[in-house]
Amino acid sequence: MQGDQDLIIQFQQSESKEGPFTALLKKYQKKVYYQIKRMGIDHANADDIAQQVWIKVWHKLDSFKMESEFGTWVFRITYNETLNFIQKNKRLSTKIIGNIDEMESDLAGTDHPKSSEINIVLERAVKQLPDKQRIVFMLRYFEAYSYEKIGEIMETTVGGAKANFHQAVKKIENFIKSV
Amino acid sequence: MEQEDIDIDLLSDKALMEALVSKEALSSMDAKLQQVPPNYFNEFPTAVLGKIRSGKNKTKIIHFAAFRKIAIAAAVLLITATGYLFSDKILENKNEIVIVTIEEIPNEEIQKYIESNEVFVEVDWQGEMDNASADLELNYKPLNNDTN
Repeated sequence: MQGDQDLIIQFQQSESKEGPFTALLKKYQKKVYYQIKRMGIDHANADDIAQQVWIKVWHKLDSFKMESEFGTWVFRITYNETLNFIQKNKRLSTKIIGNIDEMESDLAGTDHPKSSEINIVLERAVKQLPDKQRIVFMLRYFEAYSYEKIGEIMETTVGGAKANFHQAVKKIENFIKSV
Repeated sequence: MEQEDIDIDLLSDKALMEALVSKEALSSMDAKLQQVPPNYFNEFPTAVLGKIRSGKNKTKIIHFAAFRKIAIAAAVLLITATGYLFSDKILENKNEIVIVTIEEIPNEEIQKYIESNEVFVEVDWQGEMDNASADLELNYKPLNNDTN
């Protein structure tokens, strides 16, 4: 299996770009998609954003200078594309919370185990976080990224990323206590 | 060593969260986020390559970048042209001379103008007095005593 750098060089130097590009896409597509979903986007929009991300990668890969890891670069594009989408669609959060409400009403009157309720509260707690705090929380907890990498993706400092994570945990705690 | 430090930090960060909510609840939430329609990831590369080949997005991106430049240029031109026309109208208006004699202006209007505008009139009292005394000196004719 070829490394990222080899694939990028192939892409930049050869006429047949689709081969190396598809290899990179297949390697990172899941991470890109999950990163978008973890930012609170539903499947249909996550699919659109992910496609935009890869089209952008296609157009920009020729000028990629390998100063950072390819993965970090792609995740930064993903982060920016998703953030742009969120800012353009202010009503999105209402839509997402609406989905959770639907879930809650589905659960009402049924004999679901208590863990389902905890899951709903947790989802609500995460969704109510400010965008940046939610993203740092997701990348840190679920992707196990270092604060350095998170800082690189979000173009913030290590201290800023750490502060965002701890604020997120505090807000989740307060939300859970208030329910 | 550095990797170990990162891992210890990560473990303590995870422990912070797991003290609030069970690990199972967190995993379940993430598992839900990872649900995708069947075959989604198999079909995704074809969908992206299809869009790239059709060039729709490429055109869109180039047009947007070009449009932005054109829009800025157009805005600058519009502002300049509007400013030019507007300033011309002002000048035209300024060049129109309307002669009004003071008698034609109603007294109320003059009064209003004086009340709303401070009118300063500098008077050179000393000069006026000197002139007056000079006149007096010039016109001074000693009284003739017709006694002679």
